[in-house]
Amino acid sequence: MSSELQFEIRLRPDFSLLEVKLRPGETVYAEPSAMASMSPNLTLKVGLKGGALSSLGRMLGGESMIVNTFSAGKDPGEVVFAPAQLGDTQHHRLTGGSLMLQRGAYMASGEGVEVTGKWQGAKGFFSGEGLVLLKATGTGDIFFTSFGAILEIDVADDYIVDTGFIVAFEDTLQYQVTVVPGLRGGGFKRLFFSGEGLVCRFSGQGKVWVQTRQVSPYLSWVHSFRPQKSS
Amino acid sequence: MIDSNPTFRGGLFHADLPDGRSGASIKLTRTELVAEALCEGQPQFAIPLNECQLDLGGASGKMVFCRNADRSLTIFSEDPSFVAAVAQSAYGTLEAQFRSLRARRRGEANRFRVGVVAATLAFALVCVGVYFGVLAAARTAVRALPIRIDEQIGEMAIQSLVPEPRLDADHPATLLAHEIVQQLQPHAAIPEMNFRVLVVASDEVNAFALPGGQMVVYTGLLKKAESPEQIAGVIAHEMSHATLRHGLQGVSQSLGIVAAVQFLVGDLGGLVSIGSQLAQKSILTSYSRTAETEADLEGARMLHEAGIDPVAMAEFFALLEAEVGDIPDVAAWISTHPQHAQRVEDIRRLLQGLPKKQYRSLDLDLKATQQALQ
Repeated sequence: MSSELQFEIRLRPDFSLLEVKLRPGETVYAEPSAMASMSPNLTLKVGLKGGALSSLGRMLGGESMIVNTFSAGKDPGEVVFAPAQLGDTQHHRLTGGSLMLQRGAYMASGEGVEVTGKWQGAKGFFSGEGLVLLKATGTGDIFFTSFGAILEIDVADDYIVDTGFIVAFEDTLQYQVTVVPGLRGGGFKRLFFSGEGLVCRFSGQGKVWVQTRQVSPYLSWVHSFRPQKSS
Repeated sequence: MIDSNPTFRGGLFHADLPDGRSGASIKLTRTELVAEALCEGQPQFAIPLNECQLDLGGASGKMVFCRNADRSLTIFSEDPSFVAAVAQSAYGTLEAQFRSLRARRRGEANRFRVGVVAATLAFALVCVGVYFGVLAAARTAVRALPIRIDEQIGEMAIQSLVPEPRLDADHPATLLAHEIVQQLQPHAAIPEMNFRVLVVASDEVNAFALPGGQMVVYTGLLKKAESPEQIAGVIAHEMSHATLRHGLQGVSQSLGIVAAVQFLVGDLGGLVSIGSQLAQKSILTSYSRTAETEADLEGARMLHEAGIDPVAMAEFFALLEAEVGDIPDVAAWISTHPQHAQRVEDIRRLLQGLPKKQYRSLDLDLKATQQALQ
């Protein structure tokens, strides 16, 4: 069993930073360009992790095929990672189970965690979460990022989350893409224009992490302030 | 005894565990499901098989959950051999539970598939509805616009769409075409339209009309014709495109479709501007099947009113079709036009509805014009 990383997530939730203190001989993996600062005695290795297939899976899941490896030699050291988007960083300790992550949510992980893509098919298409989700498996620490803050919800039976707000969920949860229950039989008008059409219905037992902002509505809001082209 | 049994990887939920959950290594004994948590202290939990409640679920839909009677403990695994082992354990007492779970899961999967198909069909139906709605709306809207708009669009298009070299206004070929236009004009649906004709020196057998009454005839077509009435047929057909305002309809329909697509899909930006430039010529000068048939019938009506036999128009189509195989250029005009047999049939049916009339022959010297073009 891999030892637990020593870490601190600072400046939460909007401009979060992950600070990992590596003990001698410890290793942490992170997506490219996540590193903000590091002790000079750490060594950095660049490469594929977990073989070609799982690297390809990661790429289809909106991540880079490349994973950077930061290792401490005989001296301890620290490394700081920053997410690409404005938002929080969440830690989760995997104990043999799996975690499903939305596209691009992966930032860093400790020893013993394997991250690859998982084909979702029509469910992925209609959920708007992409055809491939990321799946993290193994025993170890994983850090993922959100847009906005992160809300952790312990689902005991059934729970509904709008598709764009899902950051991650434990694979013990079953999810179905469906129409908001109140909208059933409400006709196409409400489905198309309420903006609350398709949702994910989680059932079973497990955790869902929900982000407090959604990227594409935020982008359309920003877009309305862009200067008009004069030509 | 326990140790001789296979071990499965999985997990468990229980309130005593840190965070209420842990990964676990699971063993199956004759009477119990035993899970050893992979966390500190490695506590063990067990569910007697005879009180085991089964459930299928998880992100993959293939994870098996076993709960005890008061549901305080859940042991789960996704290992396929675990499913088989549990199903066969306890002398088959769990087999029935498994069967009903699998049936339910298949039902859910089928419902989802039906939902996906229904949603796709509904979307396709909306697209088709919008497409035809826009076409119909554009046709109606164009009729309400002043003719001046057609003329302006036509004038703008002459420079870019009418190829060089063009024959002079006093060339015999231009005069012949002009004379035909003069004779047909009083019988046009919009007689006050400013009909003009340009003759382009090209062996292509082609003719087209721009919005607003500007017509373009290629010398190739004049050389191919066997009688002035056949040329009158083609010109009547093209004048009809102008008076029926097919060019403007094409433009507004295309704009309408683009607007509708933008509404449905979002901003298409650069793609649209490139597309509209590429489509300019084809929108202004080539029309739909429906438009061609309309122009045939309106052209035939004009010829009939002018005392020219509309069958000459049909003859010329037949002449073109007979030669399409030999001269590739001919294909330009005929490619967008309906099947010859159908056109002749349509024209004849129209004539049956009109009063009988003695047709005259045009007093024009086509032979001399054709010699001037050599």
